[in-house]
Amino acid sequence: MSNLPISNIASLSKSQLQQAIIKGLDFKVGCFNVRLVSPIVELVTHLHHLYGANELLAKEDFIDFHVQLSSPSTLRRYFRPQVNFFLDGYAPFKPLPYVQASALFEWGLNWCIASHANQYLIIHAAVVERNGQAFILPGTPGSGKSTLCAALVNQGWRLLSDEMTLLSTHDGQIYPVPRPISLKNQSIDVIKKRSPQSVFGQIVNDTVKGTVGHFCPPELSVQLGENPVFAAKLIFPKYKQGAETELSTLSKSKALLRAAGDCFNYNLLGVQGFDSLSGLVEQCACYEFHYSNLDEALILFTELSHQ
Amino acid sequence: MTQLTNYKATKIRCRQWQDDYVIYDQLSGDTHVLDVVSGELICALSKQTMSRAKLLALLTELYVDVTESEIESYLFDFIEKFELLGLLISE
Repeated sequence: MSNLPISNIASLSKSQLQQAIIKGLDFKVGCFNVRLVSPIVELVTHLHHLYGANELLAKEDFIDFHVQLSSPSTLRRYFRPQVNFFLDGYAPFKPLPYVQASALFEWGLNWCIASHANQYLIIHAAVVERNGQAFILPGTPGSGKSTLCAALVNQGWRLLSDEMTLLSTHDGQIYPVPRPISLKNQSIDVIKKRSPQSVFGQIVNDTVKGTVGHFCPPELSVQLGENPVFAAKLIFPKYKQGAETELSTLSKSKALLRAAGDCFNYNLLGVQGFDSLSGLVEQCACYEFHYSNLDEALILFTELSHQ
Repeated sequence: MTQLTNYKATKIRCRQWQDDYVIYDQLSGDTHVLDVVSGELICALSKQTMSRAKLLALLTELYVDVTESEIESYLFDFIEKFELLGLLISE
């Protein structure tokens, strides 16, 4: 067994990283292995800023997702440049403006996982951990789950994912996929003001989701990217301006129905999906959570993590 | 609908939490939340086929405080509703 330290993306200089991405950069993202091929310089900066802690893979490692981002090779690239995302040579999306390359990489990787990782029941939910307990925060866009997740992570909670909870259909544990936290619009300034030390990638304006910024995950969360954890709390957050901080118990049957609606592949997995989700609901305390004050939310979550 | 008609539930999974039953219909992929009475009936019917008379007897045994006519009426509605949902099959 080699005693050499494991290399991560931060061990490469920016020019080495650029060379590597042109040929194909193989790296670990939680429990997945990704190969990224791209000539796009902005992606080098994105990975350099936000994926430094991600482990580089050995040549013989199996690759789950072969991803490529490139500009269409038409005259259009001179007038209104665009970028395409490919998985195994297939382009699942229409091209986006070139300046959105880093956002497209993140969204594309979300799609890869959500569309292919059916060994998990995938819930559209942030998931964080403290004291050995995973807290699952499902939510539709605008529910405030990513903002809450980013604030918790800045308080030392472990990030498993800000976007997708991967519930194993085999062992009932939550598998991490710690990646940059995607924040939108006002949430970017909220988190920047609360934690000026937090590292953000490029802020991209005028996307279909508005202004988007990706916030660097903590190094320790990335290093623990292969360590699953059991869920203890299933909390449906809802941010509403001026709302009182309120945590109310949700019946397990209602929690199951709501979580099923937040899954990407509940119907696809059939009875396996139902068994996995009912097992999750059985083991979790389930709540609805309304908030507008992040400080109060953090205090409440810290108290819950001791229960 | 006679006392001799037999009923069975389609292929389902049942989970009970307090007074709620959650039913997963393996044929349609639909998930339903049922009250405790409907939940107990449908789960019982997923284990064995029962005649209408047997269903009435089961309900009478479970709910001693309820009148016979209320049970008759409940069962009538139950069968109609769950046949429509495709969770119940009559033979």
